[in-house]
Amino acid sequence: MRLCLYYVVGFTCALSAGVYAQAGVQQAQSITGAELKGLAPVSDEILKVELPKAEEADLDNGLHLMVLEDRRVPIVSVQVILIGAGGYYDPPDHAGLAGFTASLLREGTATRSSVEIAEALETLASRVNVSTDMSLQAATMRLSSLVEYLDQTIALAADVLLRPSFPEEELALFKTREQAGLIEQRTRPRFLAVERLAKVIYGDHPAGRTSPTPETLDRTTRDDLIAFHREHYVPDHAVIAIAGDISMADAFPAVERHFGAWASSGTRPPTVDDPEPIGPSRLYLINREASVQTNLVVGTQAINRTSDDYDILSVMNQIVGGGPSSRLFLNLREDKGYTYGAYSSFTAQRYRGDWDASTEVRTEVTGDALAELLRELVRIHDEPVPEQEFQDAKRSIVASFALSLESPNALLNNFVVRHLYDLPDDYWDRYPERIMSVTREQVQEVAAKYLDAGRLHIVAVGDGEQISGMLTSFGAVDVYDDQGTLIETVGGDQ
Amino acid sequence: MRRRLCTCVAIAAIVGAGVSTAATRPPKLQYEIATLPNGLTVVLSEDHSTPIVHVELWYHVGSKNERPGLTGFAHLFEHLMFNGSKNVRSDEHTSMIASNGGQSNAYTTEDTTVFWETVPAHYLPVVLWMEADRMASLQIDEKALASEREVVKEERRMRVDNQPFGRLSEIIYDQAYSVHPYKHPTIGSMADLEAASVEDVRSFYETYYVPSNATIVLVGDFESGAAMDLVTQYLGRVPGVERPVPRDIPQEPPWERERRVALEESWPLPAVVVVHKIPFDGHPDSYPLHFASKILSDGQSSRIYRRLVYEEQLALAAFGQGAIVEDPSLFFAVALVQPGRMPANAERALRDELERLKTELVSPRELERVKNQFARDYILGRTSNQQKAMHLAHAAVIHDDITTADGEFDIFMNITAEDVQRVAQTYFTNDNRLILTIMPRNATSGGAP
Repeated sequence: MRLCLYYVVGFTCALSAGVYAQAGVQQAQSITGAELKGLAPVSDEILKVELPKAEEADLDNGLHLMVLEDRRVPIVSVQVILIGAGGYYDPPDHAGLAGFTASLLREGTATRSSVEIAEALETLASRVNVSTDMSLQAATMRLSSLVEYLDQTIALAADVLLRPSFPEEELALFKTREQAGLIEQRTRPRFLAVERLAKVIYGDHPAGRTSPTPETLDRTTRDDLIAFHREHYVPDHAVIAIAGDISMADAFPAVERHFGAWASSGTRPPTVDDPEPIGPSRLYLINREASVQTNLVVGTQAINRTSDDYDILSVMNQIVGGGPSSRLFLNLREDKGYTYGAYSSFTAQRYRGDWDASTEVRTEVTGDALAELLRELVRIHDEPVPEQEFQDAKRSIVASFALSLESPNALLNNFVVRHLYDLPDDYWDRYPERIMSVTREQVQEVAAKYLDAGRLHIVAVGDGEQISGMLTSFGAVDVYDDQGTLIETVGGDQ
Repeated sequence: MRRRLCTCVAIAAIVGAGVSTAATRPPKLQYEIATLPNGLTVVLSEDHSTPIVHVELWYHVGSKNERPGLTGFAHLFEHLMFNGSKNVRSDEHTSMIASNGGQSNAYTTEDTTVFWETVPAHYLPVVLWMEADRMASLQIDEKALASEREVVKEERRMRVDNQPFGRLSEIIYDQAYSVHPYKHPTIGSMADLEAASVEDVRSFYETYYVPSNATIVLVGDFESGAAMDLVTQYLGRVPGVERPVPRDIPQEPPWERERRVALEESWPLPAVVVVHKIPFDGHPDSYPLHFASKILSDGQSSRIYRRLVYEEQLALAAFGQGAIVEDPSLFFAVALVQPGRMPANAERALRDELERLKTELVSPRELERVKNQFARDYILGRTSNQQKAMHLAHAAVIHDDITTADGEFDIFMNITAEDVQRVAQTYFTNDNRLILTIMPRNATSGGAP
């Protein structure tokens, strides 16, 4: 449910788009087992895949290196995952500092200016950026390069990561660039929905924050950045994951050359806490005047990444809202025509994450669409999933997994997840088998456990004048303005 | 509207100091091309690295084939292609592929409508069978039309009407064109979507969804002989038609003098846009124009970003981009103006940067940067089966010459600083220019100080 804060990218895409791709357009009236009318030449063969393996090694300073060799194209991509440098570890009174630090790493080092770094990288046609999010434990540096420029690119990346100078003038420029964006994002309905939902699901937990404020940005000093970098950018728990046209034999010395001198801090792995258990369900309306649609999001707390329920929840989610053959899509789009799309998803990390379902519907059907959405969440635990639908959902997950192996980065990410969450060595080898062994009863149990109607929180962003009456039929509604200020509570027993 | 130049690049000799010459050359695409007796073009490209196959079916029809009063129709029709055919129930196309772990989707641009599927390789027959079924026997009824019309209207609201700056693209095109159908957006207008009838749907299908107007590209884990047999078995049976596909699209007259337009929208910040009319995809000048857009906008060291966003802080976002498509289109430079800054200053800075391309030769180092960036994009853009299929289909359909899928590589390699200057001098002229200023409606703080 995290929102990309880089509005500039979204804007550029919007302009150059006009590709009205049916983002998940497709449909299916029924996947409940009717035969084809004709004789579709379908194969029943189950796809079997052997997973290529990433090679792994450790440097003396604690850096963990993972390499997935793939010689198909002469490009190498690298992720440096800095556990402990993410927004989760913002100082309590300085939300956003981790993100500011990550963004400003590229803006100057002991020996290079911001402009010199940009020119050097772009002349090599390499990309390097560092980012994090307020809910994440890690900041991640991502770089990609033509294989022949890899060593020069890693050298630049190491300079940026290990020796940033955070120049005062760059900080001032950064603040000006960011301030307008912090204001502009409040005009986007999706941002407003995500911001409110995070607050109601996570409360005071770090994941309850979505964006820094203009005030925290404004009071950030160079010393704050230097201190955060010194304390949090350490190799002890970091992972470097490399995919592409390179072997471990070549990658290890390159990484050692540029990152080997990075001094270990001797710190223990940073810890996380689960959020407080979520309170009873409630409705929230963010009044965005002149909206022509309502963004609806229904969410709750769900599981940790290491939960035994992970695979079962994956299957349940696939059935409810995982794609264009899922129930929310079939009901709200295909049957009712309320929306262009309706989906659900969940996040699972070291702390307990969220599950949510979302859709954008025309203003007039806000109440009806919400009723249908909630009805699907009741149905998934009240009624057994029909056998054909159930088997299709599981097969879809397994085969999608096989399809994802086309991308070396997707494959490597699987190994990174296994490493970060201490999952068993054969975790991904056995993944298809585990998904296929999930039972219908388990899906119902998990649905009852996590989609408890009494714990679902409902956020609506839209034209308050037109929709608040529709929402109050579901209970008391807290009404906010687009600045996030509570205006009033209407309807229900309040 | 994939407003991309679907082409490639490589590295020329490197001139700048301290940078070694990029020697990387991407592997050439291997393919076979054939035309079936019914007119269908077939392109096959084997890639055995993963046991999957990507199928891409291009119909050479897009929103530029729409008549006034029926805008948005090509895209609406694309949705209807999922509503069932003689042997496939409504919506079964998607469920069949999804339940077997495949992915499928479709999109419409101003020039083409594209349907695609990625599936485990042994599902290739069912994909071809379903594509053949809807090419030959689409079911068209009022109920499906009514339902998809509502879905598309929500798509328009979600993407365009409910987003800040959501209408920017359609404002630019509407103001720039007078008669060419690029004037209207691919998603169409609400009124026209409402007016579309079942007769319109049937006529569109019979006119454009014929084998001779289609190109199918397969990339993935198959043996070409066997794949060609399957394509022939299923799609070869679709009856061909004799009548030619209409291509009578009104062409835009040359611009003869500069125009300035000022508008208001419910946006948080002002936007300024400088627009020039440029030639079509494949025109010799389109290649240096593509370089011009990279010089202006690719990366933090590009000229427009560095000046307007980084140094002078005139804009929250700014870029210049050539929309290089099948018919002559637009090069536009855009700035979203920072609060408190003058739109006129942002406009002047954009114009200055376009002017500089006319008066100064691009430095050897800058040209080298652009060529390196092209090489990267070229390689990264041909990594997956889907990407390779797109390049092959684009070459076959838009250029009507499959060899451009690889052949443009050398054209880009040979671009000189003089080429970039020449095209800038040709197209970035005062008379061939439209300047748009779009102010926030009821602005209290977003505009000029």
